[in-house]
Formats: sequence, structure tokens, C-alpha cells
Amino acid sequence: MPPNLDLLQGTLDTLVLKTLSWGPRHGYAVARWIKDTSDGTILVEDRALYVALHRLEERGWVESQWGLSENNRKAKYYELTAAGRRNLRQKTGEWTAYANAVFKILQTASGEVT
Amino acid sequence: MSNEPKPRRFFHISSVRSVESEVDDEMRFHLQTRIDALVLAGSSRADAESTALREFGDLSAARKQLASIDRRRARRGALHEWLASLAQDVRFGVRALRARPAFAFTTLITLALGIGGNAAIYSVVYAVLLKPLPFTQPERLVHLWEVYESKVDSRSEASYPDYLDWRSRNRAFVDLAGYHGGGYLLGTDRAAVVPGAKSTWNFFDVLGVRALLGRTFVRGEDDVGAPRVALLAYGIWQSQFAGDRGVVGRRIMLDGAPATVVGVLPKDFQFARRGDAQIWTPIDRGASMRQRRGAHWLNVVGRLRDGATLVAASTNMSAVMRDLAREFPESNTGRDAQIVPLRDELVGSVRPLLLVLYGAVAVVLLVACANVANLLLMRGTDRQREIAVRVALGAGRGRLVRQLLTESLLLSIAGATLGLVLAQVGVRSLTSAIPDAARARIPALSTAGVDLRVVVYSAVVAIVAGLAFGLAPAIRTSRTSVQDVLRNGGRGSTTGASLRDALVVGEISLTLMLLCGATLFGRSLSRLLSLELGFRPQHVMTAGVLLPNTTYGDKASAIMAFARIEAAVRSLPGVSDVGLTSKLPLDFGNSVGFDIAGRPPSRPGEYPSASYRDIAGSYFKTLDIPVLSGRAFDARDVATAPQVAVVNRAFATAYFDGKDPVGGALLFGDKDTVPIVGLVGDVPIGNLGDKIPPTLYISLAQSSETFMSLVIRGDADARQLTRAIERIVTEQAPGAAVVNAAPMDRLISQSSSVFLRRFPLLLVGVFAATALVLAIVGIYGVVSYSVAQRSREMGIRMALGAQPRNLVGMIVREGGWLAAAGVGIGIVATLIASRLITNMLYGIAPSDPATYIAVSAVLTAVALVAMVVPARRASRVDPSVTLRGE
Repeated sequence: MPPNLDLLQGTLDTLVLKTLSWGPRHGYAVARWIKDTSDGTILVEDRALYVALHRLEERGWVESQWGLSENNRKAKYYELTAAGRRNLRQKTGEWTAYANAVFKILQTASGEVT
Repeated sequence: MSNEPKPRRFFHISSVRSVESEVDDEMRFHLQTRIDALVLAGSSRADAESTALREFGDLSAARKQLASIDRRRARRGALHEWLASLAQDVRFGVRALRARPAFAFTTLITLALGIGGNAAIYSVVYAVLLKPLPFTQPERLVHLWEVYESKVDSRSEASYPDYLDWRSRNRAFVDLAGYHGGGYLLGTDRAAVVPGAKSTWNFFDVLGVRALLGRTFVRGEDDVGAPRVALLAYGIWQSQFAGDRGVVGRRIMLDGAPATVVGVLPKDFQFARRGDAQIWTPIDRGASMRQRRGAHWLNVVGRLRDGATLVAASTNMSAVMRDLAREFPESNTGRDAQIVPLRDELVGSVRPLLLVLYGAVAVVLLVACANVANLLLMRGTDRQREIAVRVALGAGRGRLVRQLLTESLLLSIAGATLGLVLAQVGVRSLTSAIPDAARARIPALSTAGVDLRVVVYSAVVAIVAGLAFGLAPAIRTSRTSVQDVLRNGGRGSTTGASLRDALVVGEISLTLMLLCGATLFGRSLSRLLSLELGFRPQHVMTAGVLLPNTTYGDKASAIMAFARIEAAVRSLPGVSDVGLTSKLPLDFGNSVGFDIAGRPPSRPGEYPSASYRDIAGSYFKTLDIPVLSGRAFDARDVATAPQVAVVNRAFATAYFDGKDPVGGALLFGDKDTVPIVGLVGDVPIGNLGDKIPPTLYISLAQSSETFMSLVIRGDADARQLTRAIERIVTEQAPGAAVVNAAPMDRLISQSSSVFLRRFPLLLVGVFAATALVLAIVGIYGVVSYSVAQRSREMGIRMALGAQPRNLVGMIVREGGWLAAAGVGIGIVATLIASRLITNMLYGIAPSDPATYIAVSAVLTAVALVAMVVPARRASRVDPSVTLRGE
């Protein structure tokens, strides 16, 4: 396990919430979407994704329901709750601010060197 | 997203299917879908499977982890669900109750009375009967008495020699110890009388009480001539010595002579038979106490050995007593020992009283519950439309019952809260209604009050009561069928009528029980108070005068001091007559044995005996006790003159066949003969209403006492008189003190026999009145309700020509059956229950027919009025209105 697991876990939670922000999905779809959207940059075991999903459900940020998948199998669908949506909005804000700050510092540093 | 509450879900998926199988399903779906996708992309099935598994990670670890998360969530969810639904029920209940304030108020008051009364009596019952005594292993402690085999109720204290032999010879006790009561004069010039007690050196060791400061007594401190030592009770240590920790070792003046304080007793120490004792000293009678086996003055307590039963101890002590009777036939023939658990000894007399009160207050609670059940039933019928709507919307029966029960519990818990306030007030007035003398005997009473235990008790009572009065109506109400309600045009059906009737019958019979009980106590009291007293207590003031026996040790100086005090009091304005007595009427006296001159001497242990008292001044004249023959004491009966005696009528009846005993004479031991010079009327001794024992009066001038009570007839103001007496006593006998100044008639009204009837009369009376009011409310409510329910039927009858009179008659006839049934059942129940109070009544049988007839008549009349009023009101309504009122 990498040493920055905590950060990774929190980040993963936010990514999962984001995945669900367009509507209910099952775990498989969440996993594929994260892999595909990040062009394979974010490599994560499926197991970690499921743990994230179940923890989010425990925290009341997502709700689950059984339904039928596109290939006609019984699948568990996850859906954002109001609280989950609030959390996603907050985390997105924090991430953006953080990333902007980091980005700004990195930019300034490169300007001084040249 | 908004904060709108989401529709509540009744079931969680996870609580239906097992958590593990859900996790398995979810993972299986994931893997299958992934494998399909890989196969579709061209992998071989085996490659696809291994890729999918690799991508997933540790399968069994995942399975465990996910299941544990889900299980935690399910548990928390269930609790949350439950709390949420409870909160919902409570909110709904509060709203429902607020919608009907009159209903809520009535039930609340009813329950507050029922539960509050219960809590008040329980707090007293706990303090007196249940709370452990403040001693080590109190259940092993017993009280020992001497009894005289052939006589009923002949128990007496032990003699000191007997106690010493008991102590050395028994095999049943860890140890025995003795004590007796007394008072002390504390201080020097303005001496105060302090109640106290004296004990053998090991008394506190036997009780297992350790001193708070210093020590208790040690071996040898009760020997004749030992240095004087004293123990202070916590109370007096605080009040007179300001809680000074340096008090140990200090010398205080007790009865005019110094004594050393060796210790302070703990705060919770109270020995109930001497509950007011503030100072304890070792017994300090003269050397003769070791010789006089016939002098019975020592109360004995003992601690049973581990494993020794009461029966075994009794057998053992009886054997010891048989040995003593053989060795000392003169004093011990026919004597046996009696062993009583200490708790019984301390509270034995009030136990039945408290249990009766507890029973009575339980009956009040039952009536209250019946009333509330009735109100709920009626309300349930009113709410049928609301219930029907909820059923139609899918509420389950269990859910409805729970909702209705929550409302009941809300009511009962609110009632209990209000009740606790009532209880606190109640206990205060309850204990303050008890005369000081009785309170001193039951010190635990003062600890009664609303504490955590009582709160918990009330909560339990409230919940049980809430279920009791709520369950039946809830089930009945929840049985509402939608069709029925709709068919009845939403006016509800008369469901529960039979249950309502049964509750009314029950209320009437319970109320009858309490009313009969109160009446029986009331008639006992009035008979007791109308007793021929044999003297006139009105306008008589009494006051005890205690001389310090250290300064008035010789007879003559004490007699002279009392004579000076008597003369000075006699000269006070408003005083017409003054007398002195060693024991007032209603005080228990000591008894003395003798032989009658001219008859063969009695066998040992079978001497005639009489209660005796020393008197002085014009005692008989002051109390208006008639001299029936011969004379009262007068100036002739001085110390140097031959001793003479005056006896009462009971004495003449017992020992002279009712003939005039004047001219006869008594023989005391080997002393001179004492002629009987007068015969006087009977005066109660001990308890009012008890058989008056043979009584013997001796002139103070020919006897010796350091405590005498003044009896003063006159119309002087009691308070001024008391002050005047105190002044006179200080002047005439420095160092002496005045105790218990009180008018004679107050002593009678506070005496234990009057109190033991007046107290239950007061309380049972209050309970009965409460039950009666509740029953009236209940009957009135039920009848007005059923009349309202039947307004259409009545309208039709009136339209068909029935007169209002007929309708009222019809309703009252129907209700009359309920009243009759209630009275009938009540009479039978009272006949059974009243046997429990036989011993508490005086001069009246527990089945006294007049009481039953009168109470039944009154109760029936009241019930009928409670029915006629609503019936008449209903019959006056215009039929066209009720018929149209769809």
C-alpha cells in the first residue's frame, strides 16, 4: 500500500461522488468511468472502489438500490443523496482552490528560473 | 437539495436479506460484467477471468470488509429508524393531546393524583419499612424481652442480673447489650433538658456503629462508680457544640455533675426506640442493680450468630430462662424470653397502618387508571375517522397501537411528573401531621421525601399505569374498520361499551371500599374521643419538672423543691388548682407487686400487681378524678407518718371483688403494711381505650422522685403559664428544667391511640374523597358520552312521542344497573379487605352493617345524580336537530 493512502482514500471518495453526480450507477460503471476518464492515470483496485462506495453509503452520502443492468443482470445501483451532493460541492471547491494554489506556485517558480 | 424530510422507509433491504449474500451478488455482478467485456474484446475466457480477479484485488478481504461496513450501517439504521419513529409518535401524541386540552387536563390531574399519592406513601413505606437500619448487618439484630408465661401481653424489660446471665449463658448470640431511655439536664444555670439514653458499654459494638469522632464506650465504663463519660449524637454536636471537632475530651455538665465527652455518633445513627436521644451515657444505676433480679428496666438487643435462626435463639433463651427460674424461683418463676427482629420492634406498630395506606392509595391509582382508560376509550371512538384514514393510508395495526400507547405513556409520564410535585408536598404535610412523640419513635420518617428512588418508582408506576390504562383502549381503537366508520357516516360506532361499563362498575366498587374504610376509621375515632375519660382534661395545663439528681439526690430536698414549686404555681393568677404526679394519665407507668394483708402469701411470680404513681398537691381534685370512698392524700401524709395508699376502681374490682377496699392493707416485700385509705375513679393509663389496669397512688411525701409533672387547672393562657412555670422552677430549684409543657387535651389528641386512628382517617378520607370525585367524573363522562352517541336513537324515540322524562328514566335505569353491580361487588370486596384493619378500629366491627348501608346509599345517590344530569341535558335537545345532525 502507498504511504499516502489517506489522501488517496479521501480523493477517491470525491471522485466516486463525482461519478455519481450525473445519476445512479452500479459499482462496475463507476470503476470503468474513473479508469476511462483519467485515461488510466488513476490506477486503483476495484476492491478499493467498492469499499469507498460502501463507506459513502454508511455516511449517508449515497443510497443504494437493486436494479437491472443494461445486460439484464441484477446490479446494485448507487445514487447521490442531498448530503452527498453537498459534500461533493464542498470537496470540489477545496480541490480546485488547492490545485490552483499549487499550480500558481509551480508556475511562479518556473518563471524565476528562466 | 432541500431539507425536506424524506418519506420514511419501513424496511431496509439489508435487514431483509443477509448482508453477506448482497455483497456476494454485487461482486459477482462486477466480475461477470468485467469478464464479458474482456471476452468481447478478444481475450480468452481464462485470461479474462484472471485479469478481472487481478484488477479487483483481494476478493475474500473485500468481502469481509464490505460486509462489516454494511452490518454496521444496518445496526445504526435500525436504531435510527426506531428513534425517529418514536420521536414522530411523541410529536404526534403531543399534537393530539394539545388538540383536546380538556381531555389532556382531566387525565393529567387524575394521573397526578393517583401517581403522586402513590409516590408519597411509597416514600414513607420505603423510609420506614424497607430502608436498611443504619447498623451493620441489621437483619441479624433482635430485641429481647422477658415475658411472663401465663399472662398475655406480659412482656417487660429484663432485670440486670438476668441480662448478665443471658449474656454469659446463651449460645445463639454474638453478643447482647442493654439500654434504657432517659433525659439529661445539660449545662449548669439555665439547664436544658435533653432527651437521651443509657446503655451497657458494648451497645454500639453490638449494633456495629463506630463513632464519627473519638470512640464509643469501652469495657468497664458501665461499672458502678466508673468515671462519667458521654457520647454526643450528631444533632446536638452540631446545634450545641457548633460541630467543634475538639469536643472530644471536653467536660460537659450532665445532671449537675461533670462528664467527659468521649465521642460523637455518626450522622445517620438513630436508634429508633430512643430516636430523639441526643446524649448517650453508660448505665449508671447504683450497686443494687446487680442484685435486684426482680427489677425490670433494661431493654436488651442482641446480634444473632451467623447461622442462628430466630427459632433456635428462642429455644436457647427459653432453656436459659428455665435454668434461671430453677436457680432464682423467687424472682424468675414462670418467666420466659421473647425475641423479636429489631425492625419489627421498631416499626411493628406502624407497619399495618402503612400497608393499609399503601393499599388505599393503590386503590386510588386503580380508580384513576380506570377513569383514564374510560376517557381514552371514548376518545378512541371519537378518533375513529382519523384512525380509519390512517388505516386506509397503510398504517399497520401494530403501528397504530404503538402510536396510541405512546400517547398514554406521554400522559402518564407527564402525570407522574406533576405527581412528584404533589408527592413532595404530600410527604411534608404527612410527616408534619405526625405528633412529635410518634415521630421520635419512628425517626426514619424524617428521611422520607422525594428522592431518586421515589422518582424511579414513580417512573415505573407511570409506565405500568400507562400500559394498564392504555393497552385495552389502544387495541380496541386500532380495531376500527374503515367500512364501519364510513357506513356510520363518520359518527363512529359505540365500540367498547361493555368495557366502559366494566370500568364504571370497577370504579364504583373501589370507591365504596375507600369510603367504607374512611367511615370505619371515622367512627372509631369518634367512639374513642367520646370515651368516658374519668377526668376532665379541659382547661388543664401540664408541665414536667426535672430535678438534677446529683443535687437533689436525697429524698427530702427533692420533695421540698416540688412543694415550693407547687405553692408558687398555685399563687399564679388564673390558677385554681395544682397537683403533681410522677406519671400523667396516658403515660405508661411502672408496676409494682405486693401481697394483700390478711390473705395467704402469693406464690413466686404470681403477686398481685398494679401500675403505681406518686402524686402530690391536689392531684385528684385538679383533674376532677372522683374520690369514691375514703379520702385523698392530705397534710397528714408526711414523710414521718405511716405510709398509706389510694387505689382505683379497677384495683378494687381485681383484688377486692369490687367491694370497697378502704380499710384493707397491702404488704410490700418484708416492709410495713400499707393501709388503703381511699378509692378513686378509673383514669386511662397507657393507651386510650385499653383496659384500665389496677392503679395504686402513693403520696410523693412518702416516696421519692426527681421527675414530676405539674397539672394545673385554670383559665390562664397556656403560653404565659409556661413562661411563669419556667420562671418559678428556675427560682425555686436552680438547675432544674421544665419539659413538655402542653395542655392536657392536646396530650390526648396527640396520644398514639388517637393518632393511630386519626392519621388513617385523615389519609384514607382524602383518598376516598379523591376516588369519589374521580368516580363521579368517570360516571358523568361515560353517561354523557353514551347519551351523545345515542342522540339519534333518542331523537327517533322523541319523534315517536317519548317524553324527556321517559328518556331520562331509560338512561338512569341502564346506569342504575352499573351502580348496583358496583356497590354489590364493592361490598363483598370491602367485607374481605376490611378484616385487615380489624385491629386498627376501635369499638366498631369491620363489617359494621350501618356503615355499609350508609356508604352504599350515599354512593348510589351520587352515582345516580351523575347520570341524571347528562341524561336530562340530552333529553332537552330538539329531536329535529339530532336527526338532522348527520
